[in-house]
Amino acid sequence: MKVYFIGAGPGASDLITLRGANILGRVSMVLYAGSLVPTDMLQHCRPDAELIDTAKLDLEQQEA
Amino acid sequence: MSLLGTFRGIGVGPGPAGYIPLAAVEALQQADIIYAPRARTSETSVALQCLAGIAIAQERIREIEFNMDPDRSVLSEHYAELAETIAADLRKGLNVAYLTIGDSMTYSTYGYILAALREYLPDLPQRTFPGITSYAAAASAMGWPLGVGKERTLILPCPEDAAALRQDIESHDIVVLMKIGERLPWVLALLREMGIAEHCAFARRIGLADEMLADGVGDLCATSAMGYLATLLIRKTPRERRHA
Repeated sequence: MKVYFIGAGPGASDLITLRGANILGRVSMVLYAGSLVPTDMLQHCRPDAELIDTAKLDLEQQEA
Repeated sequence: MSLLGTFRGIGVGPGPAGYIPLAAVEALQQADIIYAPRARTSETSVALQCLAGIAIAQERIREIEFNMDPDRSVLSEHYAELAETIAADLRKGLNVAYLTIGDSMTYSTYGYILAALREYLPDLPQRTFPGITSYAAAASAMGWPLGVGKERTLILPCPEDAAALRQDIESHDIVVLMKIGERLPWVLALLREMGIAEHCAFARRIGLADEMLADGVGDLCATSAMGYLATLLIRKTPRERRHA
C-alpha cells in the first residue's frame, strides 16, 4: 500500500494540481480535514473511494 | 470598438510532473496565443518543458527570448517592448496566456510584464493562476517542512556577501535562498562554518530530467552543483521530531 500526501491548494477545487487530482482519481481511500478542505474537492475522487473526514476523528483515531 | 482579449498568467510549476492547477490547464486550452519566455542562454524553454504531456497546438506558442541582464534599465526596456507586442494581440481580442516556471508572482518576469501591460491597458481583463514554487517542490521532495508552528521563515534572493546572509540566517528559523548562482561556493562554506550544513537541503532544476537534490549539504560539491534554478533550504537547528 502506498500513501500520498496531497496539498489541495488554497481552496477552490480547480486549484488543486493536475497530478494531485489524478492521484485522487486513482486511490481507494482519501482522508481529508472537512473543516478546511471544501467538499467540492472530493469530486476528483473515485466514486467508490472510502472518504474519511478527519475533522470528526480524535487524534488517536487519526493515527490508527 | 472591439473587446480586449483576456490576459492570463500561468505558473507551470517546477518540471513536467503535472504540478499545475486544473484551472490553469483549462485556461491554456482557451488561450489563442501562449507566450513562453526562454533564457537566451537556454536552448529550450523550461516553461514549455514543464507542459510535457499537456496537448497544446504548436502554432499557438510564441517563444520569447529574454536576457538575464543585470542592468535594470535594459531589462525594463525589454519588458516594455514585449508588453507592447502582447498588448497588440489583446487589442485584437485575442486571449493571451503568459507562462512562467514555478509561480507567476514569485520572483518572476511576469510581474514586470503585468505592470507594463496595465500601463498600456488600464482596463485589461486579467487573471493570474497560482503555481507551485521551486521551494515548495523541493520541500515536498525531501520531506523538509518550510516552517511548523511559529517558526519564522524568510524567502530571500541570495545577498552579495556572507556577513549579510549570516545575519539573515541568525535572525530566522528557516531561510529559503533563491538566485544563488555563482555565489554557491561561499554560501556552502558559510553553512559549514556555522555548523549547520547537515540541517540544510539543496535542489537544482527540481522536477526536470537532470534535477539534483541533496538533503544535508555537508558533502555537496559546489562546482558540480552550481548553476541556474538552484534553491537552498536553510535551518539553524535539526528538524524536530514531534513524535517518538
